[in-house]
Amino acid sequence: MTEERIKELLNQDTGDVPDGFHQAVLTAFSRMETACPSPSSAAAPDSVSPDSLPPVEAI
Amino acid sequence: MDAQTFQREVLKVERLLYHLCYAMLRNESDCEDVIQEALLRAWQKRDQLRDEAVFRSWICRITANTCIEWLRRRKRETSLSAGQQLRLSSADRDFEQLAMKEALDALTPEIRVCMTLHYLDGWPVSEVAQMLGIPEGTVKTRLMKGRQRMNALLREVEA
Repeated sequence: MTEERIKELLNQDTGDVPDGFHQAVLTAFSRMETACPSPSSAAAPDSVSPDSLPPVEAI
Repeated sequence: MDAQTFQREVLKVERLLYHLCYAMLRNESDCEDVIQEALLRAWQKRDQLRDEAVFRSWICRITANTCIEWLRRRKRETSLSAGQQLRLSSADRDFEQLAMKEALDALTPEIRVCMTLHYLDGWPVSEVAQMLGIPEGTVKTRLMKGRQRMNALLREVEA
């Protein structure tokens, strides 16, 4: 199976962002400020790169 | 990072986040729940991200980890069989698509997500490794296993 074929099949299977997912993103945006309002920016935070996050482990 | 910047950056990678969630969860309803949880979690941690250039990897890592936690919770709560039956009854008109869906369902979420990010979204192995926080060699191994497994499964289904 070629990479192009795999891409084509994955695209058929997954496709574009469905409306429900987009709406969920927008809902999260609307919940952001109420769920966790902006903290004071007085203290400079430590820098965190993606590498400092836990890796995606096997399930 | 302010709310407007955060939202703009999320929308830039929305398609990628959907592909990541769907590759791992294989269920649109779960994707909707998980992305809300992941975005809220990322928003709470936003001050930890000083370099916005790495936003994509950062948000992908948080989203992937949220998917993993979700799968673990679900594994404890229910068996997967009910979900699989639901998926197969949806819009599988075409035999090849059905075979493809079965083949993808049979892969592990870790392999599926590597294949989706690399083959569908076109990210290089190094970037996929960065997004998932795993070594490049692991990504390559998962891609190879995924291709082999898909070949075998599709042959099996089509036979």
